[in-house]
Order: sequence, then C-alpha cells, then structure tokens
Amino acid sequence: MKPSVTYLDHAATSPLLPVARTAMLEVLDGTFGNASSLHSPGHAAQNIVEDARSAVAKLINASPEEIIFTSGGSESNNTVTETFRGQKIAVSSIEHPSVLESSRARASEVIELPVDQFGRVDMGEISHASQLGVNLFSIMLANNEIGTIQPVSEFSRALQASDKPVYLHSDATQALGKIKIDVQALGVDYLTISAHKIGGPIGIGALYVRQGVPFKPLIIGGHQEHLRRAGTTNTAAIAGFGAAAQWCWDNWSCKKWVEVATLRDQLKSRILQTIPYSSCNSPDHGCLPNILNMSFRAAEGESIQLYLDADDVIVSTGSACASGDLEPSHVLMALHHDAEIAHSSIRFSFGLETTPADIDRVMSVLPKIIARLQGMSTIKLGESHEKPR
Amino acid sequence: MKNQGKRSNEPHNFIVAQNTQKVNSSCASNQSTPSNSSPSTYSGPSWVYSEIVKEHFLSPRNFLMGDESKYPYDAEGTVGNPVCGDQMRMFLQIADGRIADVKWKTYGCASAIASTSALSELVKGKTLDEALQVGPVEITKFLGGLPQHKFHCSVLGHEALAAAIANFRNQR
Repeated sequence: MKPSVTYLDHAATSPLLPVARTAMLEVLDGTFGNASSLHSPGHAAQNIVEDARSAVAKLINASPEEIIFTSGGSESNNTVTETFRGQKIAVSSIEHPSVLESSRARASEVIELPVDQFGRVDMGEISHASQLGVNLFSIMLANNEIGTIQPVSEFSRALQASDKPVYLHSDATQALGKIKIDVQALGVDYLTISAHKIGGPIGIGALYVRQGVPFKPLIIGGHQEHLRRAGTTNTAAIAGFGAAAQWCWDNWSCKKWVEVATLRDQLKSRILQTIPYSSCNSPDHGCLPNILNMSFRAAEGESIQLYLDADDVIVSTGSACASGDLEPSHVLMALHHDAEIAHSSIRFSFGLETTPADIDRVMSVLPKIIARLQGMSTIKLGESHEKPR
Repeated sequence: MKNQGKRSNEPHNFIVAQNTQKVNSSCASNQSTPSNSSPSTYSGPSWVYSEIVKEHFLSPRNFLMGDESKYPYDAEGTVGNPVCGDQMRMFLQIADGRIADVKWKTYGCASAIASTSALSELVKGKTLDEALQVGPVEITKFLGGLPQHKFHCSVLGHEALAAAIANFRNQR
C-alpha cells in the first residue's frame, strides 16, 4: 500500500504485525513437519501450535484445551450452529451473516431479537426468549459495522437464572484485542475469535468451547484438535495468531485503543460540525474504540467510499463482506428501519497506527465529496422532516 | 436479474454485452446467484469498475448541481427509489425534435453516476427516437462493461431517459 494512503478499514482486516510475520516465516522456512506426526519435526510443529494455543487462551482467560483452531470467525460461528442443529436458536438481529444465515440453515427455529437505536439487545428480550425453550443464544460481543458492545455478562447472568439448560455463544471477532475479554466474567459457553483483526494472518481463528458443554465438529475425518476439527494443522498461521495474541497481551493493547477512541471521537465531532445532514450510527457509549459509522443524507455510501479511495482514503460501506450485495445493511436497518440512511453510510475503522494527521486528511477531502454528491443527488435536502445539523 | 451475461475472462463478472432481456429495475433484488467468474491471477484495474466507468464517475459529464429550477428544461423523467439505493432523474432541452441539451441528477453508486454521465454524452444531439435506441447494452458497452450486479444501473439510466421523453410527448 502506498505510504500516502490513509487506511481506515481496520475492521475489515488489519496489517500483519511484524512479530506475527516473523513467527510465520520461522515456521515456513524452518519447521517443516506435520504437527500430527510423531517424528521430531512433527513434534516441533506441535510445540509451536501448543504455545500459540496457550497465548490465545491467556488473552481471553480460557484454558488451552478449551481453544479449537479453525479457519476463522465464519467457521467458528458455523461450528456452534452445527452443534445446535435441529434445535432452537435465538440471535440478535445484527449478528454477522455467518451466525444469521447458518442459524437459519440449521436451527429448528430462529428467534431474531430486535435491537434498540444503539444496536443493543434488551434484557427483557433475552428473558422472554429464554422462556420459549431456546437452546442456544448467540449474541455478538461487539458489532462489526457500528461497534456497539453488548452487555453479554448481564445476559449470561439472566440465563443462569433460567431453569432450563440454555447455552450462550458470543462472536467476539471484532472485540478481540480492542476491549478486555474474560470468558469467565462474560459467562459464555462458546466464543468466536479471529487472528486477522488483531494483526495476525487471514485464514486462522479459534473457537472457545467451555469444558463440558455440547460440541459437534463441523469438519470430520481426522483426529486433529482432539477430534474437534479435522484437517492438517495450519502451523504457520497458528504461529502468527499466537504471536499476535501474545503481542496484545504484552502491550496491553486494550489500553492503547483508548487513545484511538479519542481520535475516533474527534473525527465524529468534526464531521457532525462540518458536514450538513451527517449523522452518527455508532453509539456514544459502549462502542468499540475503533469503529465509527456515519450516514450522509442524499449521498450514497459506495460513491462516498470510491471518491475517498480516489483521494487515497480507504473506508468501507457497512461490512466488507456485504460489498457486492445490493441490499442495505441489515444492521443499520435493524437500528433505524430507514433504507436511505442505510444506503448512505460509511464505516471508518481505526488502527493503532492511526494518527491525528489521518483525521485531518479525511477532513480535507470528505466535506467536498459529500457536498458534490448531495448537490448532484435526486434527493432534495431541506424539504425533509429532518433538520440539518 | 438472472445470471445471463456471457462468461468472460474479466474479473468480477463483468458484463460487456448482454441480451436485451427485460431487467426489473424497480428495486434491484439481492442477487445471490453464484459467482461464475473464472479464477485467475490477474493484475487488473485498481477498481472493480472499468477505467471508463471510473473516469465518468470521477469526472461526470452534464450533471446538474443543486437546484434544478435554475435549469430551463422541457421535460424530465425520474426512475428508481432511494430506498433501493439508486434514483436517477434526466432533464431534457428539446429543439426541432432533437435533444439540444441534457442534464441529470443521480443518487446512487459509482456505476449509477457513470451510467447517467455516459448516457448524457450518448444522446446529446440525437432525435428522440434515436435516443430511445440507446439501451442498457449500448450504455454498458460504452462504459467498457459493468459488474454483473451493477447492470441494472444502465437499465435505470435508459428508463430515466425514456421517462423524460414520454413526459415530453405527453405534453403535446
């Protein structure tokens, strides 16, 4: 990527940490062995995998044997819904598609829990659903498009009071490394994480599975991961994941992100003050430190994104997974029930290397882009019930 | 929209030419048809769009900035809906049965903006009947192809022009 580029799409993927790259190269260049083999190169690979498993487990306060390596967040989420195939699953309406669609494909019934204007699931909805014989709740720890953090520990306490056996899964893909995650404190039974959101490589993730809870493998036909996930162990990627997890632990990454949140808030207030008909879709409180989702009335999201791209500012519309999809973001629709607001949205997502100069860079180009798009738009501003900010 | 484009070596399911089958453009549906792009290691354009689309998006021709009441037009046509993510409006000045001048407004993605920009260039100076012959295929060809899931933008452009011409003829 050109050095002049302002990259604000870290929620899509983040740059590989140098320590992760080094760990991977050591495996790729040196440790040639199948981690399942009994011979010494195989055993060396197995040691690397187990060290990485310990580092990942430590980051979320789990035991290493509760960590199953997968190909990423989508596989981890699919593994959980496969475990509850034919049963009743309750999900928030703003889950990642790998939870929403795999639940719809596998559950006997899916209950979609509504969210409020900030993207939060109401405790009353959880309590109500738990009375309907739900077997699994899947509530993401933090949303990928708007950054809303769900009070998952409160949900787990409410579910523990239930007289029926009910399990709780949380997709923590976006939250990992950004906020402190403690699976004991959260009270979850399953937790999805992914390496490339914390500076590890793409193509590796993990599923935390609490000891003693139901589990059914998604991929069978091999004894790897203690018969919980078949397939030749991806030693190099796991080494990169482990190194990135260890880096987050050693560097107190969650504390560093607090400074990023200050930059995020600066961009938010500058946009709201400068750009007419802008609005913020991310909550003021209880939001990941690195995500800012804004809407600009009468300016369509993809056009904003590509005009910014032409000016070397990289952002996304909603989630990258949804690009190529013409439907408005299901997350913003769940919040506002307004397709125009949803179509007119942009997600800025920050990294630890984001600087105040990056914010200045955005503000040097964004107001002109929005003014142009609003000026050429068929949507007339000023005639709406909404007032300009 | 059915997956009807011919298979090409272009990345991202480009449609360069397409049968003139009626495409529902009232609200483009979520096209979850499986991808038919061929796997390739390509070092293609930096965007999903062709260089011509990119150029028309970054430097759109003939768009009407701000209040349209300052532009004396003889006819106008609007299609699409912001709820669907795309809306286009064409304004025509007509003299001696020809399109003397054309302006447009668009709310939509890069290919929507490029399609209306391209169309405005294509029809200026044409008779109304000639202009109506400029269909989605002609717009798409002019643009050097559109990604398959964006073909409806060229359909919308054509329909906006057709609506404007119908508006003019209904005034008679």
